[in-house]
Amino acid sequence: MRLLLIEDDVPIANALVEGFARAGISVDHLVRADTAESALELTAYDLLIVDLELPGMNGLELIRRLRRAQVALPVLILTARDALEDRVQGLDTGADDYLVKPFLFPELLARVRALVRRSQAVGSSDLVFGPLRLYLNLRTASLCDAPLELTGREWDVLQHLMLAAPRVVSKQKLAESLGNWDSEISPNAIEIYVSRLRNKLSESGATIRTVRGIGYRLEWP
Amino acid sequence: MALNMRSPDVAPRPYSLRARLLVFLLVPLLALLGVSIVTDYREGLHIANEAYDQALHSTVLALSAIIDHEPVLDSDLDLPTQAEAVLRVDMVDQTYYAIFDGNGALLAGDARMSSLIEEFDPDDDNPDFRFDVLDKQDIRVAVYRYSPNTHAPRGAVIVVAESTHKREAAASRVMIITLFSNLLFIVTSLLVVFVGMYYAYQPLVRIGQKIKAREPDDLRPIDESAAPREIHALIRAMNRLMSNLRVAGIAQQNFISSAAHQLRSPLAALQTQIDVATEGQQGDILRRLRDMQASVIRLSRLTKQMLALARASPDANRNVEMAHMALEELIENAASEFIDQAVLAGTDLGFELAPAPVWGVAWSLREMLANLVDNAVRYTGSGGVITVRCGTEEGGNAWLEVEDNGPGIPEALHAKAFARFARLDDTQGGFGLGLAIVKEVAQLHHARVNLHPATEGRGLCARVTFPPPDGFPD
Repeated sequence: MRLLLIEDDVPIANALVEGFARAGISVDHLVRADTAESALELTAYDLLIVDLELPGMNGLELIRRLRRAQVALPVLILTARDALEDRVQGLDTGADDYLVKPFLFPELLARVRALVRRSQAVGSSDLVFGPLRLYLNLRTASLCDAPLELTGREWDVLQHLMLAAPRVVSKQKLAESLGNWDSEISPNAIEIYVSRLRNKLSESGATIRTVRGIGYRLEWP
Repeated sequence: MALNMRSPDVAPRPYSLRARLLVFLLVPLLALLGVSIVTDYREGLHIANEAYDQALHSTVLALSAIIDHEPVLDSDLDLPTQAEAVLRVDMVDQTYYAIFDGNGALLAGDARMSSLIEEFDPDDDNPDFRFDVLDKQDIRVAVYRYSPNTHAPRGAVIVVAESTHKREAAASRVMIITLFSNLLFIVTSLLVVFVGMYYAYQPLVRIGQKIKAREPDDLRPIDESAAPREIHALIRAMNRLMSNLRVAGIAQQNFISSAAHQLRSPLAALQTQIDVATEGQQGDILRRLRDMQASVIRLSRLTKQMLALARASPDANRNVEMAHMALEELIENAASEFIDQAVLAGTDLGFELAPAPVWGVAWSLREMLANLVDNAVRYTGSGGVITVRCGTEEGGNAWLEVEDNGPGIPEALHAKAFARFARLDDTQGGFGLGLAIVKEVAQLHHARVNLHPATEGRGLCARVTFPPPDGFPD
C-alpha cells in the first residue's frame, strides 16, 4: 500500500511517514499541493492524505481538480479546521473522509485502511479485513489463507460488516438490506447468522462486537 | 465632613424615593397650611364680626330713632319698655346701652358706659366699632355720634355694647373648620402621592423582577418600550452595559476559540510523534512515553472541549441554520465513535432508540451526545452499564437520555455540575467542561437539561427535553 501525504507541518509529516512505515505502508510526502498532480501521474497511489491549509494551492482546490480529471483515488482530509462548513465543503468537493487534528494515530490508520479497503472492493474482486478475505465474484471467503465455509446469508452479513468496519452496522438495516420482497429477514435471524459467524471466526482474533440496542461491529485488534 | 467621619464599612442607608418625595411635599404643604390658617381665620372672623356689628348697628339706629321722636332731648328720656326688652332679648350675650348728651351727661341707660366714650376723632367711622373691656368682661362697643338738631340741640352720643361670647364661638368655629379642611387637604395629598407612587413604581418593580428571573448569561437588552419615559435613560445605560458585557464575552470566546484552534497543529504533531515513538519501546522509556501520551491526549481533549464550548454557545450560533432531524439516526450514526472509549474503560454501552424528531444543528447535537456519553464513561468506570435512550413524549417533545450506574451526583450539586470547570470528583480525568457544553447546546436548541438519579437507584441520568419540532420558537 502506498500513500501520498501533502502536509506543510513537517513534524506531523515526519511522524506520519514513520508511523505508516511501521504499519507496512509506504508514504511519499509533499509540502505543497502544486506538485501533487505530477506526482499522482507518475505513481499509482492507493490513497491521498491532504491538509486544507497549504502554501500555494490549497487542499480543496487540489481535490476539485483531481475529481474534475476523473481521478477516483480515495482522499482523506487531515486538518485543524473542524467547523461544520469545512467538513461539508470538504466532503462535497470529493473527499472520502475528514479527520480533525489533533488525532490519535491508530484512528488515522484505521480510517486509512477502511478507505483503501472500500476503494479496492469497488475496483477489485477482493475485500480484505485483517485475516479475512472475501472473494466478491465467487462469493467465497478465506480466513488466514484457509478456505472459510459460509452460507449465503452469512457471507452477506460478513460483507456488510467488513465494508462498514470500524463502524457499527445496525441490525435493523442489515435485516432490511438482506431481505427482499419474497423473503423478509427478521432481526432474530440476523442474530443467528452473527452467532454462527462468531463461531467460525473464533480462532482468528477477528471478533464481532454486539452494540446493545443498535447492532454489530467487526473488530480486529 | 460628616461623610468623611463615617467608617468606610458602614454603607449609607439607602434613601427611599417615596419618603423623599413625601418630605419634599410635606414641607411646603405645612407652610401653606400655616399661611392658609392665618388668612382663613382672619377672613372668617372679619365676616362674622361684620355680621354681628350689623346687628349692633341696628340697635344704634333704633336708639337714634327714639331720639328722633323726642321733642327735645333731656335727662328724663324714657325708653319704651319694648325697646328695652328688644335690647335684652339676646340669649347668649349681654347687651348694654347708654345715651349721653354732647357734654357727656347721661340721658338714659347704663352710667358705667361713660368710660367707653373716647375723644372724638373726625376720622372715626360713625358708628365707630371697637373691642373694649367693661367690668373685666370683653365687649364689642359701637359709639354713635348723633349730630345736633332741633331734637337734640347739644347732640348726643349713643353707646351700645355687647359681650363677645357669640363672636368667640364664631371665631373658634372658623378656626376648627379652617384647620380641619386644611389638614384634610394635606393628608389627602400625601395619601394620593403615596398610593400614586406605588402604582408609578410598578413598571420598575416588573423590570426588576424580569431581570432577576434571567439566566446569569442572558445579556439581551431590556425592552424599554414597556417602561415609563423617566427611566428610559437608565434602561439605555443598562442595555449599553449589557451589550458591552456581551461583546466582551464574545471577544473572550473568540480568543479562546482561536487560541484552541492554533493549538491543534502542534498538538497533532506532538501526539503523532509520541504515538510513533512509543512503538517498539520498552521499560522506563516506554513508561515515560505512555505518561506523555496520556498528557497529550488530555491536552487535546481540553482544546477540543474549549473549542466546542466556544462554538456551542447561542452567541456563536446567531446565524446557524437549524434543520429537521431524527435524533435516533443521529445517535445511531454517532454510536461508532463512542464504542472504543467505552470498551477501553470496560463499560457496557447500549442504546434504546425510538423515533425522536427534533429541530436542530447536527454537529452540536453530536457534541452534546459525545459529552454526555464521555461523562458517563468517565464516572462509571469498569463494569459499569451505560444506556443512551431517545424518544418522544406524548406532547411531542423529543428527549435524549444518558443513564449510567456509576456513583451519581448528589442532588445538591446538580446545579453546580453545569458550571464551567466544575469538577465534582477530582479523581476523574475530565476538565468539567462536558456538562457546560451540554448546557450551551441545550440552550441553542431551547431544550431543558435535567439531572436525576438513575432508575435503578444508583447512578445518574441526564435527560435533555427538546421543544416539539413544529413549535420551535424563532
